[in-house]
Amino acid sequence: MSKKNKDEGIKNKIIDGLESETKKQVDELKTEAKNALVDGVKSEIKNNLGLSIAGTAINNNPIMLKIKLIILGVLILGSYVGLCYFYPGLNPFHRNPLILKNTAVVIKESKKIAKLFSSTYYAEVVMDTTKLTIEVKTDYTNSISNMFADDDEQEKTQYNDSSYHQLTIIGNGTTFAGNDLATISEKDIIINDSLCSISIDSAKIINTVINPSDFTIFIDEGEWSPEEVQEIKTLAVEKVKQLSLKSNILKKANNRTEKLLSEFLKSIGFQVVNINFK
Amino acid sequence: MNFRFTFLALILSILISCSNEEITKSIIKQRLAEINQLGTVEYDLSKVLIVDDEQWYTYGDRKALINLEASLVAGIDFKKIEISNLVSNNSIDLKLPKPEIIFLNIPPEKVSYEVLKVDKMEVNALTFINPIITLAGMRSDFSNEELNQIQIMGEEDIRKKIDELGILKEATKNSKSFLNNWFKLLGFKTINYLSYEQKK
Repeated sequence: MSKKNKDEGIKNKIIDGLESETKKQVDELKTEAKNALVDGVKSEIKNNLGLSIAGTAINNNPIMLKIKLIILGVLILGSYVGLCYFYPGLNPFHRNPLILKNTAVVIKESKKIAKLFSSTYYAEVVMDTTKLTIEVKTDYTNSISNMFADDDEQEKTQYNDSSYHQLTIIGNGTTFAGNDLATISEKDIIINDSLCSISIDSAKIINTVINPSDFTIFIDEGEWSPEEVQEIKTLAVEKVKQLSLKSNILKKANNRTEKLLSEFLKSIGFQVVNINFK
Repeated sequence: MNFRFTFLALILSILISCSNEEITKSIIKQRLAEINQLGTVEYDLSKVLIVDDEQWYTYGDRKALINLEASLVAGIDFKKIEISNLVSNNSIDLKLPKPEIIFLNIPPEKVSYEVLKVDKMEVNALTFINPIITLAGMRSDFSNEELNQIQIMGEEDIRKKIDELGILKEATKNSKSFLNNWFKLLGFKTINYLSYEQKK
């Protein structure tokens, strides 16, 4: 029994010894790992600190600061220009559009008419006009002696100065043709039961219209006075009128008037309708 | 079957070959050519266009005073006259369409430039230097495009004020007067007019 107890005592001692040794080794390993971790973190912090110190050094550099400010300025200016492009009102130098003052439209005359507009002709005309002006000019700057001479005694050279001017205007015009029904009198209408015969004036050009909004000034080079431009616009109106006549607008207008009046008179009970043009 | 396909292909190719734009243009031209309007009133109008062009960053003003004269014809669409209760050689009921402007014409020769004033500062730098120095930044003359733009604004203004002038009412009144005479010449004794809203 006592031997058994002795053995157990020895066993326990050995176990205790081993336990304490293992604990020691574990503690040592722990401290080593701890130290290694601390060293790693320290070195990392050191590296980072070094960089930030370098960054601060760059930031404090006045040239770099200036470059940064310039880039910032360019960016702000660029964005402003971009905004001005889309919203012109933000641009203080934006040209205000021309504004018309409110004035009255005056009626000069009003007439009672009865014109049947039965045909129109539409055309786009291009008025390409050029002119060459020759001006006689005098040059006084040909000699140094002129600086000391009187006006009358100055040496001068005369020369011809020519310049070329071009004006291209596009006009969209409409010619209206029709018959004047106001001239129909009692003697022009013959009615016999279901027959109706009417004599009316042959078709005429009533108007050729090219309004300011129908004109486009395509090329305006050189010197063209406003009056000259208006003269060219008048020629454009005449050109549209001539083109309409070439396209037989009057014949078309007569045919349409005949058809229109025949249908109308038939709709009110006449069976035979004759339309004659004077 | 083959014939059907060929026919269909032919129709499709014709349709594709005509672009939408061509169709629209031709329709518009055709419609314009088939005008059926009865012009019953003609007005001669005039308007003074005043433009004062000031910019805060420029020196001097630019002013324009342009006088323009226009003619305007209004009437009704002859084809849209509706006839009802027709009693031959006796009475007729007519319903007239709404009056419309047939054309507004501003002839170029009726546009006159009364004042075109442009402020320019001219400085004689030194008496012995011959040319007159015109300072940069001064106002430039009205360009022909600007002058045309002013006329366009005038044209738009006249169109806006047509209602105020009572032209369309006058056109309806004259249409009735013309048709009265005309139908009386054709043998009718009583002509009644129905308003737009009135049902037959």
